[in-house]
Amino acid sequence: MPDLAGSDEDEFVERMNAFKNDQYNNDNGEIRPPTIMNRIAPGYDADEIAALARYFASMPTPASKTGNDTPGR
Amino acid sequence: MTRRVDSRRRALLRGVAGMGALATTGMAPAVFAARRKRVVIAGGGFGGASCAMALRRFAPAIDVTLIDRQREFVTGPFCNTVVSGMNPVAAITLTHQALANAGVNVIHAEIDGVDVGARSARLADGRQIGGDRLVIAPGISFDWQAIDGYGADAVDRVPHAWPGGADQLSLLHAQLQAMPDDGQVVITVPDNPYRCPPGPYERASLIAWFASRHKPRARVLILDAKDHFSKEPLFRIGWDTLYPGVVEWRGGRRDGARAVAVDVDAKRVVTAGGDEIAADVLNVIPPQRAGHLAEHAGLTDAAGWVAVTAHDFAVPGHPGIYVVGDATHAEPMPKSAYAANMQAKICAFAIAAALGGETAADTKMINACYSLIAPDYGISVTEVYSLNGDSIAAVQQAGGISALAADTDTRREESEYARSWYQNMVKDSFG
Repeated sequence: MPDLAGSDEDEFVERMNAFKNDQYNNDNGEIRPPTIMNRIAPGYDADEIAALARYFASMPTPASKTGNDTPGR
Repeated sequence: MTRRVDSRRRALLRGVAGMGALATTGMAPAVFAARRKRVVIAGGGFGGASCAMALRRFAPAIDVTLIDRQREFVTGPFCNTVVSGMNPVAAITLTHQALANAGVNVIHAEIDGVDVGARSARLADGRQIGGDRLVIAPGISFDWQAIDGYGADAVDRVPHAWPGGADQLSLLHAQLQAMPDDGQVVITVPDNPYRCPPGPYERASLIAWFASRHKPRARVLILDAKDHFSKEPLFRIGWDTLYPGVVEWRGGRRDGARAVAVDVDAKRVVTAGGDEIAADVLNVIPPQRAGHLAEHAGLTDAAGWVAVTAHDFAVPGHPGIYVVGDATHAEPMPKSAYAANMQAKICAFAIAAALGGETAADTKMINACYSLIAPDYGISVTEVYSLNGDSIAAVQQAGGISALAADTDTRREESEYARSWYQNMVKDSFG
């Protein structure tokens, strides 16, 4: 799953619109269809998606992924 | 504050947080030069912690004090993984340390009450902690009159575990371990509204998972005051698939299944329909209302919850007083940790704007909630909310539950997302 922090604004907008329009690419079987973002993205209009894109793009990219200390594993 | 963080904050203020007006002028340091504004937060669960953390992150000029009686906080989310033995209670036990590290003044003390006129909390040790704004995040309290025989003194024998801390969760788990192989677990569930709508059904599911490993002939019976329940089709599919014949649900008006009396020593339940049902392990989830702090301050209505204005979670008629989380009337948002986190951020941005002489622009809210039916079988529900005048409305074209027709890989994916959802929610709220 790609990091949102530091993500490219255009890519973010494209991805959100794909979720919104249920037009994700899963033809090759490598990208699985979304489980929840296709239910969330339709709640936001173009201005809101652009604002989200600006915000995430402005965040510093995480230095490293944290270890897995999730409950249940 | 570094330039980079400042630009990040501005981007948030301009966009996600919807604080258009505030971002236009910026939050001029001069505004706070005369005297540092102070926000006092009573209650350190998800709502209170999220409010404190949001203020530190996005309005660092404001002095923030968080008061809670407990040094350790056991989360409601994932509490059923502890009941079922998937996780030790330590896995869902949080502290306020990261909030303190972020600059929040954390006070661990019993709050005797709040003075809404003075915007202050009165501590058991006599201290009065007041501020320019007072946020009350009291969570829920239980209605000990609602079920005959199930008062506060009964919980040592028949746990509610909702979640009620490590002792309650451990007691219920120990009772499950001690029951006979063909034991009957009975869970009584109240009518809406109550904390965590899908929680009882996740609990039934994970107890069935526990039984499948340790008590192969045990059954789980849900006695529900309602006719329908959260994520119902998904739970039913999961029960039929994973635990056929193990989980039985009896619902409200049809079966008269609401619990009206409990014998905690005999572990028997009497329903509204007149049935008497014996249990080997009995879990009573009582009807609920806002936490005592809100009630004693006179902020609750006849139904027991606090009415707030949706764009800032302020309490009408009480200037400077805000209530967030489970204690509020925030319908159609559920009483969930995620919703409390979201409301607390809306509240924090509104307070930051108001203390800077600005008005926060309206913004959308969201709820996302995952449940586990087994450790590798997850389901979810989500909604996006917008403001409709002073009330909250679900955005019609968004939201809903997981696909009913989904393969096992999808359920496994959602169980993984459930774990990251938990972690992200905890990190955003408690640091």
